Amino acid sequence: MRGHELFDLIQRGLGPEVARHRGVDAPARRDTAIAGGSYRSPGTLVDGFRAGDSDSEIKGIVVAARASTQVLRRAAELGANLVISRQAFLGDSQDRPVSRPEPALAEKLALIERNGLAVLRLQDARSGAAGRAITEALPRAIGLKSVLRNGSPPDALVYRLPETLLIDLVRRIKTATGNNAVRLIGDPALPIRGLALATETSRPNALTPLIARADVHLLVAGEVHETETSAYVMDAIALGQPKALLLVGSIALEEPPARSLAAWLQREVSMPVTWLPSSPSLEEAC
Amino acid sequence: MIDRRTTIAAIAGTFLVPAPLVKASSPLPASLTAREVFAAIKAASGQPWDPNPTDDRIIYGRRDAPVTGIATCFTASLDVLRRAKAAGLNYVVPHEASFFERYDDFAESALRDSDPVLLAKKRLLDDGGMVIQRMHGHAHSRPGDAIMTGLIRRLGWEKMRAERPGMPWIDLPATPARDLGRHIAARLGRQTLRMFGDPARMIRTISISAGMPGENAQIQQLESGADAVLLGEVREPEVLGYAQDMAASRPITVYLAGHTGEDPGMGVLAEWLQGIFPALPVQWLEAADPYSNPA
Repeated sequence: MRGHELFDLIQRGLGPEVARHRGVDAPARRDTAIAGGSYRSPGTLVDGFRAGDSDSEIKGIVVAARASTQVLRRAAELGANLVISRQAFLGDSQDRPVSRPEPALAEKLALIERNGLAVLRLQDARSGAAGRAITEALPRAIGLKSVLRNGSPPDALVYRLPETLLIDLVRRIKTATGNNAVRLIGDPALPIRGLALATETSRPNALTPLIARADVHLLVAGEVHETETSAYVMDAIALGQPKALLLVGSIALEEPPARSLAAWLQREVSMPVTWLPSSPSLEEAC
Repeated sequence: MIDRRTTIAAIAGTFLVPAPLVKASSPLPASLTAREVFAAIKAASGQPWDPNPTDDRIIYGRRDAPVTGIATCFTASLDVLRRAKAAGLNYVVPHEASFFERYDDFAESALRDSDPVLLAKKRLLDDGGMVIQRMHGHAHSRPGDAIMTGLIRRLGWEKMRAERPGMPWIDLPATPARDLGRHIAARLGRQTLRMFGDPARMIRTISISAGMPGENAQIQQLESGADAVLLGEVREPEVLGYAQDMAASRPITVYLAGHTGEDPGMGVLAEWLQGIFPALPVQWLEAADPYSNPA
């Protein structure tokens, strides 16, 4: 099987992309103006081949939250030549350069070339049952059932749960993502009955409307704009509202879906599929 | 090429002349409106005042409100506004946006106009006759960058600063990365500080930025040759991802201090404002970093 044939198989298996929503990706006019396009604009999809030859015969597949240089090296050692990256791995959210020169990324591209690797980016939320199962890998791992309404962002990001202490959810999320260096705003003893999980958003724009919902007590995200969403949650707490924000890391948040994607893919293809952990190991310095 | 801004910065830096002495020919009246306070700040800044792109303007409140005192802060949070009101300070100068949209642009905001947090904040401001004037770009463009001056002073590193172009660079006595992380966390009042890299590695040089200067600038810091970098807020796939890839061939240590590392700079700004308005109470209302990492 060749790379592009595998991509076709994956797209058929996981279903079409879910429509994006303003409540998750805000109007990006000024973001784009300031950051020079580093921010993903509403509706932008990212799946596709980003490096190497998609027409090569696949010998083995590695799936990672982010195709870091270390992951690419390990893939070559394993004899795999196709690496699937959930998160952006080569510059901005759409894998375009953000700075020049970028020697570490030049080395990375040379490594891809030298080892005949191809990198397939696969992060868009998909609407088929198998696609949803991958999107919902983290919620499932922490014991959440189903979203309020499938296919309807932002409802598709909101979960109701039996009253659970915030600290218990924090611990479950640390275990499920393998990241201990998370950041919390809010009282660890807060009882949570509604939770929004901003998966696959990649961009932190406008996550504030999710936590502003009366039925959401906790927003779990990879990252946010601190002067917007963090500031909002602090003010909501100052007003006595039962709100909290947990920032897990945009790469760490992709670990459970990467693992779930690898397991699904292994059932679909005959060549070996390996999940490699890849989020940057962050230490708590305090 | 020397422009007006450079000239004034050079004069201020060389002779340490406080702004009011430079402006001595036009003493300020005893009672000032918000409009007059803002005009005096703009004049004393010695900079051509460009409200774009970070909207250094009166964001909220009546321009004819009589000013009873000035509070500087990182953000005009509800907590800070309550403290300012209690202290009788009704002219609030935050570094960052106040209404959960980076440019306080209500048309760009994804929140509803009827959002209860938004409404509560406006009510507090209205009831207290309070005025918000943002000072972001013009805090950074103060001679030496007031924000950076405040951060480096808070870290206790003023005397170790090297003369180099680019982001501030500090030459340190060799310190294990974890100990340096603890120093940064303690000085910045952090309950949590994220660190990337080997905790036992010895650090001798660190490149510093604050806030969110952009992925480009942060990647240049990583590539500056410093053993470590201290960053404010980052977009993780771009910047932390870059550090991760770099670490495959060259060791690097990254400290992620978050955006509130800019708060001490607003203390420096309060000192400057007190010099402009000797008759008004001026206070920096420091805010605690909001993040924790419960075990």
